[in-house]
This record gives sequence, structure tokens and C-alpha cells, in this order.
Amino acid sequence: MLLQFTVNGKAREADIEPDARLIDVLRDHLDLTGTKEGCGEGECGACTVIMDGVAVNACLVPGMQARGREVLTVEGLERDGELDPLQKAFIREGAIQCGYCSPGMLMSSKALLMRNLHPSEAEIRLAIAGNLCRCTGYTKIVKAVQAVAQDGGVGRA
Amino acid sequence: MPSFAYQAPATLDALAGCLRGADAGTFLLGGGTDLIIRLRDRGITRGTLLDLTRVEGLDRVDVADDAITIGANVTYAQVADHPFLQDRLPCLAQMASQVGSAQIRNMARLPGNIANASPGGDAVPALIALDAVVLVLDGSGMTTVRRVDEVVTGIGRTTLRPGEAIIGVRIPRPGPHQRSAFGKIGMGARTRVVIANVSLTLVLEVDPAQGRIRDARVVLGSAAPVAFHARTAEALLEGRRPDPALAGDLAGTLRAEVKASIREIAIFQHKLNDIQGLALDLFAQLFPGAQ
Repeated sequence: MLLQFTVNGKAREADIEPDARLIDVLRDHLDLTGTKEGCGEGECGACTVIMDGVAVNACLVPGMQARGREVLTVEGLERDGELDPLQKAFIREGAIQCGYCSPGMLMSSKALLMRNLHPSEAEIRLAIAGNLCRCTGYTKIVKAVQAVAQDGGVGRA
Repeated sequence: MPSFAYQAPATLDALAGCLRGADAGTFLLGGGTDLIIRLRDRGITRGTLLDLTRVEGLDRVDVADDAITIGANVTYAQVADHPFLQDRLPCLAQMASQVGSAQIRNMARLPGNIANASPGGDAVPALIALDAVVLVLDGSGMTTVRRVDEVVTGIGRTTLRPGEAIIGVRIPRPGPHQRSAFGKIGMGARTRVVIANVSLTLVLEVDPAQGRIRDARVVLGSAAPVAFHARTAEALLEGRRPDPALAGDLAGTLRAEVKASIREIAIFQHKLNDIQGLALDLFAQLFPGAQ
């Protein structure tokens, strides 16, 4: 079936099976392998992308449900070769270790900041409650999001 | 190569047309958070995916004088964030805010919880406590109204037939003196994103002149195959003033209800302490001055 939708600001299309998941479309059809599959059942959040402004698990979204929608993946965060302030903060704060959860963590955090520029620590923790990290203990991830929240998303160099 | 057919009707009429052709291989698709996992777990590779999410008009919460109708495509996130529901049906908004993760709440919807009939589902007990009814569309285009506890009859069992689809739920409009709360204690190490070990919904009507509870609905979730009214707790609360002694009595009564339900099954014994704590928490939330 023909799926037409917007990915990272660009109109894209793919010929997919009706039961293909959004993560399959992104990774296998569009070569956007930044989005990771962890558990495949909505527990770990590694596959988190933003669809029409909200965070979703790409492993649970049928690809056809993205028809006509806008999907933002981790590849879409950078602008003109420059990383998003959130990505810079993750690097600066040491919020990345093995990195497998990072794309999902970034997209859950980005979805939060898109509707709440100054979230509290509790709001940050709630927003990433569906994202598991087995390395960092979350503290540095929360700090990274807080750093961006404090300077209003502008981000330090 | 076997494959799925995919249908995404845009109107209720078109949906009814699809339902007329439905058979045992037709899978109703809402937010997909249960169905996608189930298809993969069971290795199901053929059939028809009937996607309800494009049906117009089912993405609204309609607040009318007599009832609130929540369309089948309203997500848990939208229920949790809805100002009227937060204000007047707090147990429903609280329940929705605790379903899964943000990612799940952005896709999942109430009908899935009803149609999947998981004993750990959070929506079913809250909806039973609120006397909600389910709006069911069939292939003839007729919509019938059924009580939630008529639809959900066992673990994974419902009275829904192939060719029927839930298009919404309807809740009687709460009176001005209704208070409600939902809480759950989950399994595992996480404090969020948990499946309920036991859940409690309290929907109470408080007489403003006398300060007494005049109508009580108390529903236990995850304490039996299907959520149920804790009748002894309801009888206990009716006519009583909300004082600290009553909070303790409620906790004890609910413990006894859960104990009778789970009998001697060892792995369920922790539900006994859980329900007592939940009862005290929710009582304190509903009657902050009564502590």
C-alpha cells in the first residue's frame, strides 16, 4: 500500500505492507535508522518518535496510521548541520552512555519541550517515564533536559 | 504471500459497511498499542485490519446536559488533559493520566481497554464506577447501548460479536456534589508505567447540608477476572460522615472484599496491603479535612 506522509519536514512515500509498523517504515523503507527498536512492545521507549506533535512508540503505530501525518525522528532534530540544543545538552551533561536509549529519550524530551518550555523536574521525569535507560540512572538525562528548559531551548554552545 | 487487507473508513456509514463484511479474521484497530503486539505474538499474518482512527466525529468529548460522550478516537492523553473531565469526573482523568507511558497515552483509547477485557485494565473499573455505557455500532448501521459490565464478562472475554465496533462511551453527567478519585498500585519496580496490581475507584455523592455520604460507588480493579462493585464498602459508606474512623473502616472493609475475591492464592496476597493503602490515600484525597 502507498503511504504518503511527512518525515522531518519532507514529503515522503513508501510502498508498505498493511501490517508494517512505523518503525519498519522508518528504518527499512526510508533508511532512518536513528530510531531504535528495543522491546517491540511499548515498554522501553527506544523507538519513540513524534507524530503530529506528540511522542509515540514507533513499534506500536501501524505505518498506515501515519498517512498524512507529520513524523519527526531523531534525524530531524539537527538544523543546517547543527545539533538541537537538547542534543548538545545530552552530550555536555554526559546523558549518553551506550546510546541505545538516546534517540527515544531525546524525542520524549523534545515532545515535552514543544508544549512546555519550562517543565519542572517532576514533569520531565513523567515525560520520560516510558523510556528505559540501563546505563545512566536517569539523573544526567534529567539534568540535560533541565539545562535546555532553563535557557528556553536556546542552548549553550 | 499472505498479507493483510487494510480498511480505513472515513464515516460511520462507511464503517458500518466494513462491519457488514467483517468475519473472524477482522481485527479492529484503534491506537494499536495492544493489537500490534498481539498480531506479532501470535504470528498472525493475514486478515483484515479495520482502522477506526479515520472515522470522522469520533475524536470529540461531547458534554451535554444529561451525559458526557467520549468518542472512540479520544486518546487517554486527551481524556487526562480535558478540563471538564478533570474538574467534574476526576476519577476518569486520573485513571487516564496513569495509563501506560506518555507514548501509550498518546495513541491508546478507552474502547481498547473494554474490548480487550484485561483484568488489569484501568478504564473498565473507572467506567463501571461511573455507570458508563458503551456505544456499539453494527453492520446495519444501528448503534446499541450496553452497560460496561454487560460487555466485559471475563479475562479477554466480551459479549461483542464480529461485526460490532465500539464507537464511544457515555457517562451520566455528574451531579454538583459528586466527588471521585482513582488510584492504583502497580507491579514491578517502576512507579509509573505500571499494570495495576489492584486499583480502586471511588465515586461518592456528599449531601452538602448534612455532610453525609448519600451514594457510594466503590469499584475494585485487578482483584478478580472482571472489575466489580465492592458492595460491603458501598453499604459502609452510605449515610456516614467522612471522618478518620471511616477511612480506617473503608480500608478494612476493602481488604476483606479483596481477601474474599483472591481467596488463598499466595501470589495475590500482597493485594491486601495494597488495597488498604489505596483506600486511605483516596479517602484523604476526597476528604482532605477529615484527617
